[in-house]
Amino acid sequence: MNKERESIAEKTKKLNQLMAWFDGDDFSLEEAVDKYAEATKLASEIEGLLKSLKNKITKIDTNVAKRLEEE
Amino acid sequence: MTDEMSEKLIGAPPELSVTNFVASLNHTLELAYPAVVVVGEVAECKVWRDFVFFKLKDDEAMIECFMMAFKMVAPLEDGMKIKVMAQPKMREANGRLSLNVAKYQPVGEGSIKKALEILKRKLEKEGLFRQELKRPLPDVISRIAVISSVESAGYKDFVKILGERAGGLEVEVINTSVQGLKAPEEIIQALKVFNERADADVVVIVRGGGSKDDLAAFNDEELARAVRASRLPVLVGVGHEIDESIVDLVTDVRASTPTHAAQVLTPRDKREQIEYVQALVVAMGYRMERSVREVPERIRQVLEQNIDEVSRGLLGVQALLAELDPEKVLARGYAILSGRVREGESLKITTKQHIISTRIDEVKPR
Repeated sequence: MNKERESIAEKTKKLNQLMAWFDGDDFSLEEAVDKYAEATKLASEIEGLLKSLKNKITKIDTNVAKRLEEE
Repeated sequence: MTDEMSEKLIGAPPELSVTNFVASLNHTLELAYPAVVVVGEVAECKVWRDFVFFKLKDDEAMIECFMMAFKMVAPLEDGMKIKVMAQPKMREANGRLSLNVAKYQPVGEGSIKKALEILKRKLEKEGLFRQELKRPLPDVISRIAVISSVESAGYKDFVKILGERAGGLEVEVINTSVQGLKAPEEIIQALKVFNERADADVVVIVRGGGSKDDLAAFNDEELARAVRASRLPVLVGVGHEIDESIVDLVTDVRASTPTHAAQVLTPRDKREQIEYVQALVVAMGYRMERSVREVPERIRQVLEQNIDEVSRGLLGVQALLAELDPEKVLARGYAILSGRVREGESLKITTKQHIISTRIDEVKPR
């Protein structure tokens, strides 16, 4: 997995953990403010990464047809 | 021009033995027709030792054909219309011109259907279509090995959808024919290359729609066996939803089209992922908002609880005070004495019903 995809996966995992905290019994309004700010930042970073990610396409020059002709 | 004159101009024709003439003729045929593709109907097909002999004919002509038996990769029966890739050769032993067949493929809907049914029965009997042989694709796919014709519309659709749905994927492509007599062998070779490399998560074979003839390469027995034997899991996205080839039946995962293959590889697309993270943040916001709305309610609950406790305390005090009420004491038969406790002084005695005055005769310690 490339670095950007890894980063997206990690950030999404963190975001899911934050969501679990918001849904859980440990939730408190005092702490929620900071955690919400963290979540917003993560979501924005994930969105940015996803929008900028491109696939890398490489053509392998095996020249299959030529190789078969030689065989 | 007389014969003598022409002989002088071009020289005398060489005098050859029959063997040398046939060899020379075959050499010329080899140069002139290194490979010919001939379409015709099969007749008098028979297998003898390691060879297959048959005739290829149409309404006007007929030519004999032979090939090595191991090259018989698709069903071959009298009446079937096929396309052969061959080299013409004059056989030394009997002077007959025949086609030395390297590859062949059924053509025409009827022949393709017939060949497909025969091959399907054969491979099914061998258990090649068994569900338990099919491997799921990995949960996380990062490296994709693609076999396709890079100029084809099917490949372009596949790459477009993959780009729209995902990013950061490493895609390696081997360009092959995806139709025609050479296609099965080229695809097999590409599969071999990818299987020898250790780094792909999945091999994808894609090709857009086409006629039955165009898609006939995917009914090739050798290709079907190579797909089944692949070390890497194989996803096939060939043709349209309604086209079902032998390769579709043996592959680990079948997608109905190249576009669908791209979707299978990217179960959650970029837009859905963005929507998902946005939805999480919105849900967190709601959770906070709900919590803020709940604050006055909680305060009210706490106050009510405190008032209840205070009220209960007050009731206890009230009861105690009620018990201490002098009227209640008098009612129980007691009396209240008031005045100075000294001999000769007068005292006031208050009972439930009376107030009595009296004088103290004597005072002594108890």
